[in-house]
Amino acid sequence: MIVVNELRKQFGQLVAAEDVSFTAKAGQIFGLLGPNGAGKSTTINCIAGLLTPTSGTVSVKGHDVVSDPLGARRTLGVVPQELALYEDLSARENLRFWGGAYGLRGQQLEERVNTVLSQIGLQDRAGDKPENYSGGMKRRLNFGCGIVHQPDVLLLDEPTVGVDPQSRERLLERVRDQVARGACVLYTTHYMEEAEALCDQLVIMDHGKIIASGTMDELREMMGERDVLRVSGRFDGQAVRKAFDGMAGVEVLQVDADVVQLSAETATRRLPELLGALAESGADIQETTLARPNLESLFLLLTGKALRE
Amino acid sequence: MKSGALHCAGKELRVRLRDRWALLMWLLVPLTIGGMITALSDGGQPQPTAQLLVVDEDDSLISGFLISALGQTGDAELIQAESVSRQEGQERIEAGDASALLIVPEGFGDAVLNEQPSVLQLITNPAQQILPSIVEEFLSVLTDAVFYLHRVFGNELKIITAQIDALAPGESEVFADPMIAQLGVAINNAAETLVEYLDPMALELAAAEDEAEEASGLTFALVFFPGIIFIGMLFAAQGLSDSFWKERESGTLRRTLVSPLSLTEIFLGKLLSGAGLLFLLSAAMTTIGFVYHGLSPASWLPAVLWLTLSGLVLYGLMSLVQLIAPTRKSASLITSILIFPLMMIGGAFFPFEALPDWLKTIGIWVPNGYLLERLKAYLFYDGGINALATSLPYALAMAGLLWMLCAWRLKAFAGRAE
Repeated sequence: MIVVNELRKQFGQLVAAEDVSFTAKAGQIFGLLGPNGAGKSTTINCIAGLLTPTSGTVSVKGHDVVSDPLGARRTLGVVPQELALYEDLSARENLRFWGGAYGLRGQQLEERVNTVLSQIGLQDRAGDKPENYSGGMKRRLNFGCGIVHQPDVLLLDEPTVGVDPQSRERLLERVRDQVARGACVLYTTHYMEEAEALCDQLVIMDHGKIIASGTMDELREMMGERDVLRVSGRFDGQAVRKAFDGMAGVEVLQVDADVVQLSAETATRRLPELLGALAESGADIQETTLARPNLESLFLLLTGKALRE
Repeated sequence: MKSGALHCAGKELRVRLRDRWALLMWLLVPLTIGGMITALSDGGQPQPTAQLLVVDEDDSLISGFLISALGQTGDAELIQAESVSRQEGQERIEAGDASALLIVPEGFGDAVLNEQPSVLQLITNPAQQILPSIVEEFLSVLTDAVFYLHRVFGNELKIITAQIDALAPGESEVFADPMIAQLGVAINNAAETLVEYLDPMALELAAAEDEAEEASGLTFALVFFPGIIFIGMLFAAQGLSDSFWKERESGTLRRTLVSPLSLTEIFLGKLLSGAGLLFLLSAAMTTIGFVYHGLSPASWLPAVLWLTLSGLVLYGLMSLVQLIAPTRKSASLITSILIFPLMMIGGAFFPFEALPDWLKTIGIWVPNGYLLERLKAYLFYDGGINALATSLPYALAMAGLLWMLCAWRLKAFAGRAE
């Protein structure tokens, strides 16, 4: 459904995306992860046709976004991160407009609007303007406007930002519905647990390049049989690094003044050894957490920085 | 293309019609200014009238002339004369129920005809300042007029008075034909002797009048009327043009750009909806003005269509500024600042008729100034429909150029929304 091949996008001297290649298939949720400035938005904008690639190709359901932009746009549904809604129009009117923008008219449009209103749980408030909605309701309407025309390819850019848990769960269910009917979903998020729970395939980007890709299991394998030990307190960065320098099977993922993260083989059994080394470095330990490796720790391992930085 | 543009126009209209405060303001601003100007021009208050009580104890032809003349103060009706008895007159003036009381004593007519002194008694109401003075001034003019009447037609008046006095009680006032002929010849002779004094004055007065204004019957408020609608159009154009930034900041522009709708359809949607709204606004304001000023309904449709086209020119101008400005704040600031000089020198706030020639020359080269001047030529002066027809290509060219520039800028503007 989405084929990105050696995409490169350059703004003056700045290379925002370089050698980006991946394929997202129908019936699949494809996660695109990375911190701000990693090149996610540039990649998505190239797919959506808002940006023209400097080189490389992007096609959506067989339509090249440069040579056949209208064909590509007809297959797309986009849910932007910002609440791109008309505040002066009711939820129903917003859905009507966006459905109409994709060519739906008359009875077909009305049926789709009613279905989506029901799916996003706003049928009782369909006549209200978004300005009277809670943040979660606005997010649901924002999502509804992107799926009203039942797109084959759905681009979701951080669709659950600032959403309460109930609305988030409802939204994620609707995303799964789209996949169940055969749509291809490209999903970007900062919520690692959300990506882990939702995505079938993942790409992690940093500095405009793909630094890791695969299924969740494949990415976990990159971490090996390592656990992540997170310790909070007060630390001397240099002393901590020195304490673990050369210690077999231990890698320092992150050292800040108040947080240290370590990746260690069989960390459960080696906990006294690890905490002892930290204590010897002069650390004032307040809290420790031992976790299975996740996307966050993988990102730390690959880039040396947290995903949310 | 057509369907998408209409779809966008429908959405734009719905959005605009929901913003009732903005619509109200676009109507209220010109109506308020128009109301103030009208109030300034005619005071907005009922015309004050002096209530004059008249006691005619003489009941002669001459006193009758005087009292009749008191009620003839033209359309303004400054003095309203009412005949009363002496007792009623004194009671009412003491009660403050009139501006003045005039007592014409018995023998006043005889005294005038016989060139004897006579005293008219005028009692004024001390509670009033201006109205009694008006009565006094007008009475002074009338007594002079009676004096000159006597000087010119004294003999004839004596004959008529004598004839009336000779009538038996109950007899109708019938003059014999020879007497009427004699009086007619005498009055004609007297009038001919006056012609050489009166005619030059009449000619001089006629030459001093402004023929154009006399012909058009323009009033202060009417001169302002088209300009006031242009003020409304300017504010509406500014308000409408803000939609580009509003859509960009809310993200709806970006979202529309990734839909199958083309930039041209989005653009046409704004243009069509703007034209519809400007038509409704100009129709509302023009209707109010036409009804108030009593203008010919035949001019209504051409005026409304011209105003709609003018509104589109101004909407294009404001949109171009919005699309060039680097931020929404600066766009708002620049368009707000731009409105005022356009109003001032474009004849909207100060009519061209009140501007010095050099400023007027500049003003009619400003887009709104040119369009306003043409509308006035059509409505008030002798331009007729040709005043609009011959200017239509220029107006269309202005609108076309501005909107083509907007279309060109919109691509870059939308690009910045990425």
